[in-house]
Amino acid sequence: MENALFGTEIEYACAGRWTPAEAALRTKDGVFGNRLYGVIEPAPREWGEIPGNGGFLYNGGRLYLDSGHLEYASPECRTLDDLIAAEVAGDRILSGAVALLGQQGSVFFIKNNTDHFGHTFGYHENYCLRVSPRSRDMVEGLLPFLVTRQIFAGAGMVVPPRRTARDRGSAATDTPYHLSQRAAFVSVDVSHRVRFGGRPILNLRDEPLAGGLYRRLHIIIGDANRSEYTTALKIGTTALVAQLLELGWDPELELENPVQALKDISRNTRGGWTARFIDRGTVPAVDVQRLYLHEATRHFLGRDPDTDWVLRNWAQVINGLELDPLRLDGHLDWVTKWHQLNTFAEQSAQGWEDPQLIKVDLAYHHIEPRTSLYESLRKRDRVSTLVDEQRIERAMTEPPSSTRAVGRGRVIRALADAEADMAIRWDLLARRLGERALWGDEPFFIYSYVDDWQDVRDTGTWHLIPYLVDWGAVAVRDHVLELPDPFDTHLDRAEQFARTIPGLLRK
Amino acid sequence: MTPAEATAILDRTLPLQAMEIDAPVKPVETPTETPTRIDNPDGGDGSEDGETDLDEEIKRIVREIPDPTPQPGGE
Repeated sequence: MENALFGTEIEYACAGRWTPAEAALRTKDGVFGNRLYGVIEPAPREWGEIPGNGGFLYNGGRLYLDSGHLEYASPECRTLDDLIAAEVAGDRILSGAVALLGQQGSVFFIKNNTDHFGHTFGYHENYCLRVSPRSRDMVEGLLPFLVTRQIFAGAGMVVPPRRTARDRGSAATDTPYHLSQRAAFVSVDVSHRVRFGGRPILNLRDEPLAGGLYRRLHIIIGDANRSEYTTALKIGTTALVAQLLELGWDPELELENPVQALKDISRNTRGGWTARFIDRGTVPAVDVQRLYLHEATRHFLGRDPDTDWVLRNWAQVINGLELDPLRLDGHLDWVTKWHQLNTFAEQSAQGWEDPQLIKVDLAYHHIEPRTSLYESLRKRDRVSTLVDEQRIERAMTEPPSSTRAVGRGRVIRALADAEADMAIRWDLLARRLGERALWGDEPFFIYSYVDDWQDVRDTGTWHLIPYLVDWGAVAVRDHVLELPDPFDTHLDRAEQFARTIPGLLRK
Repeated sequence: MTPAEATAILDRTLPLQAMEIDAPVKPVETPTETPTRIDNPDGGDGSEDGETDLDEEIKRIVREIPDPTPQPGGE
């Protein structure tokens, strides 16, 4: 997609013979043990990441532990099929590690956003911008789009029986089902934080992870979709809307209460969604989406294949949602899952009160093909897919072709070939932040975290941390390959740098 | 799109086809069809046998997967 660059972060749930935290830890070690899919990182990092907390992958993405979850950050992508392949590759990498550990059928990872016990975990979207994501125009322009986007982007969620009648779902259908897995957990419209102090619709973190020209839009309201079609539509529409707002377009819409509108729309599975806007009264959600669609069409139609695919399918889906949402079975996650749940409920004496429905819901999001309802539908061609198996398999170990993930992936491969992780002195690295460590006979505090390679240089700790990989740079023993422009593959410089790695590690 | 045009769209009560005609200044290929529901090739045209197979597979999956498990809160 022209001028667009995006990626996602997925926190997986886990169940089975190990506790979720134990499964995350062991599976992470399975991914990086023997350098199966990438190399482990020795540096302690911000957000409480201890040495060895995660690593970068051959495909340019990153896998790490975060808040007790195994989290996969996709490589930067410029096309929707690259993004889809990279996301599904993350699922397959986890499944591969579970199989390698001999835990297939015992340990299960789940790509969703709630455990149905009142906890939520994230699916974050990142979009490269050239303007600040914190500007008032950007925030106000995004909110109506994001609040109504769930009518096609929601993953769907069975609401547990203990919730109140109002929380459980649509009065129209009396089915305890929400469009979105995340909407119920949101309490503020915008925030600099992601969790404490209120989970927001729009997170204002501006951590570009790229050179000075670029900024990063970080959206945390989205669901982790299984449907490739839904994922492509969610990412594609949002990328186009971000570009419209960058151009200075103003939708001139202001929600009276964004959080309440988000929850009200999510609770309604019958359709006919509306939201209240200042000075405009009640507006159908499909018309809000059409406002963005029409402006995007006016600016971008004919620009590139991804853009045209998004515009065409965005229009079709809005029309479908207006006429009969349930016709979008096989395309939209919340509709597809609703049909399967409804069929199950119709065969149960307890109907939609059957507690097994939560397991059916979870089954849809399991990633292991044998125990995944989504994969069962995929096997039967009952869901719309966009990338083939060969493409997904390649994406497990190969970066997308047109971003700096190419250069990063090349260097990660070289680090693995040189067995760089063997140079890590784990015995000298503090395993907990602030813990005393030893260098020779001298105890010292390892400092709290490494922000980037300059911290390692400034503190002279290359003997502890022989290499460091970041989104914007790779460093090996004081030699640095910077990757500032995410739109550039940096391949020539990465090739040159890769050839020096064995020698640098011997120093 | 001008503010007046945006307001017109938001305030409209016209049916879908009328809105399509009123839409953008630039000629736009705005499809009016909706995605069709996906058939089941295993069951030919979504036949009863195919549905039964899927129903049985869902019951097996529900038996085999663990019960819902509390997870750490994320982000």
